Amino acid sequence: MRVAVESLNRYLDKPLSTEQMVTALLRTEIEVEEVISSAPWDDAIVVGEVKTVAKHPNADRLQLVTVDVGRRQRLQIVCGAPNIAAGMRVAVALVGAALPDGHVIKRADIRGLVSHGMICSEAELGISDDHSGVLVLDHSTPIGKKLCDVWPKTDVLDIKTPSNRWDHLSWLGIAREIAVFGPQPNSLKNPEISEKQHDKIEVENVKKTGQCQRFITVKLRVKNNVRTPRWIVDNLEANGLRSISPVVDISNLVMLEFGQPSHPYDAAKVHGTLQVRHGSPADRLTTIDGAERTLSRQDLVIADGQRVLGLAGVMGGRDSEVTAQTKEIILEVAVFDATTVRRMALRHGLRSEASVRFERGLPLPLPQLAADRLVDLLADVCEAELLDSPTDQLYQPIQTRQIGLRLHRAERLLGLELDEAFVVTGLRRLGLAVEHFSLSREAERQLGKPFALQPSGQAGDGSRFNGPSLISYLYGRLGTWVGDTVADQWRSGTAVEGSLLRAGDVLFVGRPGSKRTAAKPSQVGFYVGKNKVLEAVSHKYNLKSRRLEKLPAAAVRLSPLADYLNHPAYLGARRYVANFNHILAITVPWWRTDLNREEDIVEEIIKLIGYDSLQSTLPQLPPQPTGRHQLLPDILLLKQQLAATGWFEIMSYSFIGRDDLGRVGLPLSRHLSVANPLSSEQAYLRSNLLPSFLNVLDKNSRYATEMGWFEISKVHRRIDRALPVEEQWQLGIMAVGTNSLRRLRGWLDWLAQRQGMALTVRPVEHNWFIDGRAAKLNLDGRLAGRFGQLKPALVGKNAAESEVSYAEIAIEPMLSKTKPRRAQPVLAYQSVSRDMSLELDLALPWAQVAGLLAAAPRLLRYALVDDYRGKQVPRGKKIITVRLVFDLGAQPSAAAIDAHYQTVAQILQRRLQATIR
Amino acid sequence: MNEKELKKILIQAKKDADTVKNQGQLNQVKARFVGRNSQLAQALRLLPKLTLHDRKTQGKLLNRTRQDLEQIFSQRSAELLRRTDFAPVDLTAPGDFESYGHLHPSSRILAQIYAAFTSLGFAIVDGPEIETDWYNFEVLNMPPEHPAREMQDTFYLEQHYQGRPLIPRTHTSGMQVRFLEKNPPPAKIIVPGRVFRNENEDATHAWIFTQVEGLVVGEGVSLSDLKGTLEYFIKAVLGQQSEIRLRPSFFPYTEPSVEVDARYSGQWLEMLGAGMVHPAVLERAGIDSSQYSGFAFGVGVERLSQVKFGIADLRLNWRPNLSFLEQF
Repeated sequence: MRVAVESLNRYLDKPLSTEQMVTALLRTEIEVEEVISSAPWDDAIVVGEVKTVAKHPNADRLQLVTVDVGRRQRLQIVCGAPNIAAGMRVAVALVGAALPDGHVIKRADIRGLVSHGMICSEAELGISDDHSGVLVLDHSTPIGKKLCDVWPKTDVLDIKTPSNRWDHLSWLGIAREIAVFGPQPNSLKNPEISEKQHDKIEVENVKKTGQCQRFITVKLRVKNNVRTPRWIVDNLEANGLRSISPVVDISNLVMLEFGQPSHPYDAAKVHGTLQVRHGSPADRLTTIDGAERTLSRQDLVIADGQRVLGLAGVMGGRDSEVTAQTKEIILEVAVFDATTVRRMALRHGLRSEASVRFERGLPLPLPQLAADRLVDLLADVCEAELLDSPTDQLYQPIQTRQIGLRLHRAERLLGLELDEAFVVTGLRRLGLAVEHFSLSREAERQLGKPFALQPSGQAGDGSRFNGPSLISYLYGRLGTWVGDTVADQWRSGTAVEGSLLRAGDVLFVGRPGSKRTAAKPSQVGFYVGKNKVLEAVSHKYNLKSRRLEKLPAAAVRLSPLADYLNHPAYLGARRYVANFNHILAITVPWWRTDLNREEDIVEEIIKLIGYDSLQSTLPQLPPQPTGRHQLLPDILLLKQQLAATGWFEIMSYSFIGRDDLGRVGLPLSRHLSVANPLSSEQAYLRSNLLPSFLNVLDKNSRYATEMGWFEISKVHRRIDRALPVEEQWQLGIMAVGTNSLRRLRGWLDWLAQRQGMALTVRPVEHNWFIDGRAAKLNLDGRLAGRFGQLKPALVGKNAAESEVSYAEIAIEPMLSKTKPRRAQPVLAYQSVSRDMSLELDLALPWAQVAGLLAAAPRLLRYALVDDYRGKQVPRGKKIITVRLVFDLGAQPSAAAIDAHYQTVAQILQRRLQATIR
Repeated sequence: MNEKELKKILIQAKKDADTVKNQGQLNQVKARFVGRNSQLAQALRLLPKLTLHDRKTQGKLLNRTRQDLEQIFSQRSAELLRRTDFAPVDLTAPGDFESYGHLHPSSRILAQIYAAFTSLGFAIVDGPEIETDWYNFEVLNMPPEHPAREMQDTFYLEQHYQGRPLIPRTHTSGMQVRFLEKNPPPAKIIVPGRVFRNENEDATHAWIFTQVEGLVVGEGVSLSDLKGTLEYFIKAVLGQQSEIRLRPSFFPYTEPSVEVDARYSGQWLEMLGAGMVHPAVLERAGIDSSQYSGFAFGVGVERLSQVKFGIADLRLNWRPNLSFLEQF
């Protein structure tokens, strides 16, 4: 929202500079996003008075004007504005003046006559885009003064305000904050309002909806064909609103001023009284913006006997709009349900200045103030007269909120010692009524108030009481909820022995008669100390006559404690508050709808003190056990190791498109979909990282020649369960360039070794991968993922390198099962290493060789060091070289080495039909 | 072997030793002349078969040769250690280490965040990316239609859970109640993870970002503790010379709520939102708010990397451009 600094200053006793205001706002929730500074007008733009106006001899549309600008000589200026007239005070740009758009005024020859300057329109001054005529200044504007001195331009603040503060959408609300948090003691200047009488008249159909909480109408005779005063127009325009007509302008001004939207109807176009009701599909409405609206049951509308006049709280209808010809208006000033207005505004795509304000929930006392202010301004500007006495209907009681503030709790929450006097003064400056809570005073205040079986309001408004409502009211003053009924109050709090009673404890008795009634609490009393109990009862059990007697005048009164303790059905006492010291009883002013509980007051206190006064401490709590929470640190470590071993980490969008899924042949049905995607490219949650990787490959084809990258991210699959989401962590890794598949395969060994797990690779066929170059992989016997070389069709023709390999691994099970490492002792002697070359069938997988070697005796390690398939090798065969490392003890004989070498050779010969070369 | 042959061996050994450039080559040469299969060794093995006289003279000769050979090799070995005739290498020219990996800037920041909070005794906890309306909003004092929901434009899934909307979480705060329900206080956790906002993307807004939630709940946890913790964390990530400042703010699920600015290279920058956990939120997690209090905060990882690394366009984090990421 934009708000002009000068508009705010109107409501401050001591006006502040823009800078002071911004500093003050730093201490509030209002966030200044931008200060739009206004450069002052050029000094050579001055105030002048038009002396004579004559026709330009050589041009029909031009006039020759003489202007007094406070110099000895009048200036002759050629002017084309139709509204120019002698006696007007105007803004004159002298020769040499620079206009806000940078244009510099020169002496000009216009159709044979010299013009010594220019009389400015609003557009030329950069105030608005109105260039239909010159700007007319007030008659009292001093001639010859610089325009920038008589009419200071205002800086504008672009602010963001929290959604729980309706009052921050009003000048008064913002000024109220600035008055408290500004650099010097300041006070709020409320506009003077003359109070008016309101009749209470029910409006048809309002009550039923429950969505209109207050409805005020005022019928006035007005003149709408006058000019809106300059100050109103200036204030509207500085805050981003256009001037339309005096009535509308005043309605808008009061909205900006108080935060209360209102709507004027042309009374001549309203048939009968106003109604508030639900819309229906049969209703038609063209709103002021010219759009035709189709209505429904979900809309709340203002209507007359015949048709719909507007969307309640959102926008009025064009039919009943006020015009220059309007003679009589009906003003509507109401409070509509915030949610209803919000839904309507969203449904109709119509967030108006009004709806934005209603959405925050306006307080019920507000419309009356605003209505009175509206009538005052309309009387001033439009000579308005009341036609009937205004109607006002409140559909909800106005409640005053009480909050108890325990200073020790505030200190604990803030971690700061509080100065009680400072807190009390500060909260009062914010408009809160603050008292030290005193039990005896509170009790005394209630004495004599009448008894009522049904107290008004939920917890009572404090004027009449029954037993439990007296208790809940008194504890309500402390902000402590004890329950509304005797039974609830008996259940809450802690039990107190009769001999340990303290002021503030609550006593309970049952009804003598049967055992059953005696055990059920039916009467309560509030112990005020000195053997006195405060109670609100209509009947009392007489200890002597042993009968329940009706009291002559039922009112809040004091009884002796003995009446309770000696009562035959005395049940016991409850304590709700351990300590009544240092409690402030706070009454929240009507405009602070955001203050609802103790913590809200604590926030006000620290704002008053300033957050800079807070110490920096660390929580005195033990470390959180991390046993079950290792996954994310484990993932980070893995990422770091991957980066260190030559892989590139990427992060890509979690949502992908239908085309992405199609490209890799994944079925839509297994994917979660976004109901309101930003674009069709981001409409599905990815279940695999491959589609994203292919996009990365496409976009980085020039860069990605000999390299590899990875991403670790959650992926989601749609499953057939109540919660249709399967979420898992996936590692995707892609290698590009020569030998990419072998590099990826080598990396898998690294991963298995890192995890201390056994890697098994089982060749499979898979539609992503080239046949014979695809496999599933298991870690310690558990399926962990798949890998292979991607088919050229998937890689596409953009990739610089056609050899692209990809692996996908579910890492959560893998990381959670990382094997603890056990150290192997170092051999005290040297192991023996021998190479063995074998001629094998071409199709025989290494896994079979490895399986046999793993079981060979005394073989410490083995490795594949060469795989040759060339000219010297017979057709259908390959020659592999294996390095064998034996553990044969210290200084083995050549014969021993040979024997073990031969053992291995025989196993391979026998089991694999290998030829040893 | 006669004296002449032995002499020839010595000459050859000297010549070979002089041509080697390092100890490894020298050891090979040495093995050839005095190793198990050397001529000399074979001659020595034949000694017992000779006559006494021959044995005596031959033995003497062979042993002297062996000593001479040892002398040659040890001399050359000593020379090699003193060697200075190396050709210079142009160290300003690039080396041969071609392929090396890069960590995403967000991971770099996360590493610092993990380290800072681990040192304060926090656990690092994972939470679901797809949330229910209940945990994402309702438990956090944002019932349906609450205007504060608008602060976080929301994606919805077409799929539902028990007739209620499923949401790609708009923040990590859903884990506050989730965690507390299963782990009674004291609690000290951070929850990093991706979050999603349905807003149009530009250089300064991304519809996806990494958030780190912080949650501390215990007896006597105060706003001062929040300030101290965040100060420690910001200094750990942005440097010891950085400072923080708290400003009042509003979040439905914290009270008091603050906006935290950090001073970095002379400028105050908006960094994160935080506050004391709202008592109603604690109550919904089954925690007695009169006994326990807590604070929570949520910080954007890409916001930190933007400030720290000067990444002007947030989209670069999520649209992998390898030549950009190469810098990290």
